[in-house]
Amino acid sequence: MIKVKNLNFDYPEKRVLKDVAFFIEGGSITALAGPNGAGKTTLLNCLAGLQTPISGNIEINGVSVIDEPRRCHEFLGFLPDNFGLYVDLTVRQCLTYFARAHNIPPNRLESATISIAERLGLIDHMSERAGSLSRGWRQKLGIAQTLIHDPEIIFLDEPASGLDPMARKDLSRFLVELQKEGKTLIVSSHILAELEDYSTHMMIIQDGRLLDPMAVGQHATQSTKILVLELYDIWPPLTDFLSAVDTIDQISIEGTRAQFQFAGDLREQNELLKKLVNRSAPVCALQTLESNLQDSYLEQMKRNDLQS
Amino acid sequence: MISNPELKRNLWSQCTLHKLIVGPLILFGVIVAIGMGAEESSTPFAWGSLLLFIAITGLWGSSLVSESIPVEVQSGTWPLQKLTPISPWTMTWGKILGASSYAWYLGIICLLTFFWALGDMPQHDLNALFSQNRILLFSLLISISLSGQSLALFLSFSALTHQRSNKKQQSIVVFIFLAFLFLSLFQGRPLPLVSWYGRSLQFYHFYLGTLLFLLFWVATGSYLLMRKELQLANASLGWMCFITSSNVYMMGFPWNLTVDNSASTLSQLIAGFILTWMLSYAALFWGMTNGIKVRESLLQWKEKRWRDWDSGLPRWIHTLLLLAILGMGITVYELLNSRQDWEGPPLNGLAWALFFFVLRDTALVLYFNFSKNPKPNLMAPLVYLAVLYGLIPTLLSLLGGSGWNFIFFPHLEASTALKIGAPFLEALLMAYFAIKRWRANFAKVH
Repeated sequence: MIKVKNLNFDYPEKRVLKDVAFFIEGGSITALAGPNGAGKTTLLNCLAGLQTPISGNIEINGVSVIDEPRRCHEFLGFLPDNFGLYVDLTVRQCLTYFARAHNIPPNRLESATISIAERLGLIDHMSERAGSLSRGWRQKLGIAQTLIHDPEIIFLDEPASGLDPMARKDLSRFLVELQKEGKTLIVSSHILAELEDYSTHMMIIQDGRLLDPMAVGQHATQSTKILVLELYDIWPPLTDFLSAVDTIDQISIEGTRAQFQFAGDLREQNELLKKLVNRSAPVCALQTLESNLQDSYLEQMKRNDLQS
Repeated sequence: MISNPELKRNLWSQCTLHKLIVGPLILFGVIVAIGMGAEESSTPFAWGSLLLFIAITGLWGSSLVSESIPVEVQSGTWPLQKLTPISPWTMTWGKILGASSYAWYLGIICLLTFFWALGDMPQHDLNALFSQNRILLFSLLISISLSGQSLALFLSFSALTHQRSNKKQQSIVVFIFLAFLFLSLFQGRPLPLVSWYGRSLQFYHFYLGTLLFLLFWVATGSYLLMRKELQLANASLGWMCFITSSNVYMMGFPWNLTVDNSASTLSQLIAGFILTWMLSYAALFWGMTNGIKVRESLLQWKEKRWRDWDSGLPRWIHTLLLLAILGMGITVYELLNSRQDWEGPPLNGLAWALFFFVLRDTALVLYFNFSKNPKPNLMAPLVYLAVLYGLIPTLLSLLGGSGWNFIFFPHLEASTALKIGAPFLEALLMAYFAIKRWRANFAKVH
């Protein structure tokens, strides 16, 4: 769906994207995370055909963004950070303009604008000037303009910045809805907790490099999980016991608490527990350690620091 | 039904009902005030409405078009517009006509008043321009305003592409351009004939042709810059066509450079050479090739991405190529023909001296552009060029050393070897420094 190879982008003073390469499958929401100035916005701009990289390839739906940026805009929607609105136009005029600009035929203009306005709750504001809308409504209008042509691929740069918690929740719900409809989204944000609500994959960019490209998709599709075993007393054979299990890796034991990576399914987890009880291990709890996006992010960053 | 979305959006913004009603009322008041002093003569009406037309569509319309891009950039709507699949040409004409739509609305009212007043004008007040066919007159006036507006958009895009915005400078350039075009309309009687490629043409017919030529290239320039903004590759063929057609246009005039005052081949070659020489500097300063661009071009060459390479190639290279071809033409002509038809001082390699001086200056500008400063410095090379062409030769002359001036500019009296050799060596030296600086600052990526 989105294929990026050896992408490099230079600003006069430095290279901001360094050999970036990844592949994103359709129907996913990928969180694009990274510190300020890491290259997130530049990467999104390149993906959307707003900036041309010095070298590399970007293919979306089999179309080269570098060779045919205008063709890509037919099935791509991008809401940049700090986007603006035509403040002297009404909401209806703004939507009609973007619908027309995206080649929606005249006989479908009305239905397209009404449909997207209804989805985003803008229908009661159609006659208001864009300049008179509050921050939240402006954001919704921006999203409506971006999605008016029903794009398959959607890029959102910091879409929740400046929104109140309620509006953020609404936005998360809306993005998940879009994903369920089969859209592919890349959402960039500083706020990892916000990305946690809806992202299925994560991509971290630091100093222009994509950290461990294999990490794309790991967050949601990972077959391994972290288990925590708690005992009520020290059990000396614990290390040997855990080491002997094929599906267990990265064991760490501190007194009566053991934490390890488990690659099995729920049935195998049940078998493990049974074996422990049969061996008379003083088990009082075996639970999955919930790893969130923030943990994955920090873990990736730590690993990268160690490698460098 | 307006199919151009950019034009329609501009119409919504510019032409509100309130403005559509109030504007003509104010205009009517102004025209009536102008005509108050007239004693049953429509001459003041004609002049007033003509000047108002030029002021409204030309000056104000150009200003509106010029502001259309910076306003979009500042308000953050420009990236959203670039993300639509509207074609660059649709966007270009949508912006030119859309941003100035209200000015055209008022301008057309002025133009109608002008033609109405012209019908009642006494014969003795009709000058050469006013006596022209109405369609020709209409075409001339519309073309002038459209050319001004297209130039305004071109300059606005140019400022955006090169990230240097100077609204005041842009306004001055557009004002001078419009003033020149408008004032050139007024010719005394008998109306001069224009000699072009040996044919005698009626002045206003030729002038309209020239205006359309200008309009075509300024609008094409805006279109090409719009394409660049939309990340589309521009073949260098566009620039080649521009410089070639400009040469064809200029070479058509009898330059009176030769003994028999005819538009001889040599005259034409010299006229073309001078024009291309000026265009070389225009392309050099307008393009502002920086270190990144060179790195990009080298990479594209290495990766055999010919379309991107051609698109990114600095346009001064093509201009220098044409300059060399014309220089070659002059040399061949000199070799094959007797020197009798040239009435100035001996040419003797003057064209090549000029060519190598341009090369030296190109290397000098590149040297400054290859500094680590991300924004190319325009002033520094200009100051150095002023010192090289002005200050040092003046000082040398004052000190009695004018014989050494061949080092600083093409000296007619110097021998051919010195005339060509000096700028050639300077160009080599400057190119060495420019390449060295580029290697130090841009060869490695950080």
